[in-house]
Amino acid sequence: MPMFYFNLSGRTPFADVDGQNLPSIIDAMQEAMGMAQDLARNKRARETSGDQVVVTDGSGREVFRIALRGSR
Amino acid sequence: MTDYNSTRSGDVATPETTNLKWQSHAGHLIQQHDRWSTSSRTSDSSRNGLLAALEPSDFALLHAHLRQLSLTAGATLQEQEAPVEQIYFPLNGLISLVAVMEAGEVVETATVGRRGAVGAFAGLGPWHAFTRAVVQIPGTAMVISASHFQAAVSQSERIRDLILRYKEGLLAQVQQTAACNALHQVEARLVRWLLQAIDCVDDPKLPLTHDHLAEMLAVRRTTVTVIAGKLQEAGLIRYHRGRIEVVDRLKLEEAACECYGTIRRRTDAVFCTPQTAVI
Repeated sequence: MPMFYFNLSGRTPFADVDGQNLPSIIDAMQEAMGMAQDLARNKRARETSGDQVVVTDGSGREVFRIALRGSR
Repeated sequence: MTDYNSTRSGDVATPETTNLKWQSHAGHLIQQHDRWSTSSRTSDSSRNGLLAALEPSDFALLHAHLRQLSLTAGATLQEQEAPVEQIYFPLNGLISLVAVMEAGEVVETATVGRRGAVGAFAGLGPWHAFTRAVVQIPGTAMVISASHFQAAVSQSERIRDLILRYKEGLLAQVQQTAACNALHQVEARLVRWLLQAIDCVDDPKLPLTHDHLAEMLAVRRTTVTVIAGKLQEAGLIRYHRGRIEVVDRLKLEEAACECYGTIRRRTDAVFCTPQTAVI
């Protein structure tokens, strides 16, 4: 199973060093979307502007990114 | 293993034989040690706040029927919708009351530690549990059967009152948790949960993984990792291989939402008499 790293970019970036094995990129997208929703929940748009979940693979290459969108 | 002498009224003290019973329950093993203890409440049972709050005459109604039980991590003590057959008074460890949805998802609705009990309401009569009780952090508990507990409660208004006050305190925790889950940000919710957990176990070290926390808070494991990582970078916690340690409790309280303080205050009120309770 490929390894994916779920990093956060933006005002307070975070680098995922442990990563997670997931069956496919679709699973990684679902995980990343869930993570973006968790982190944006009950936040105003200005609290999340510029923040993104950036998913990379085992070689550090970006696979995709999802913007956080606070909607409170 | 320590020997205890049995002391039921009128019995001659005899050497204990530890009786190990293995009982399979919902796929988890609960190891039972039957011990008859000469100890008064000042030893084991008083580590539970509810038992310690009882008048000696009320505790005497329960004492002979209480036995000590080891709680293993992951064990289900009580299934949702099932009849309550035993009441657990934790001496340490942490138990989560989780709501189980039809599709199988679970989320924690309340935590129970040494200041509480699981199944106490069955003291007032036969009762079915509303939530599943799962051991999150292992420990020990004093356990009594529902029928023995009912017999004791029927003889003491004070035990009944304590059960009802405890139920109110638990409800206060659940109400505030529901409001917090609906309105507050995940960072504050996680910090609140960590503080509640270390209060429950009286220990800044928690043998819990990010997966555990994710399940209790109904968020992604990757979400917990990001937040825990930032708390670690800020020097508030430290985590490694399935253990989370609170390093700076004061700073962590500053990072928590108001709900931690509200829950703390309202559950403390359980242990006040009606005259002194300030909610």
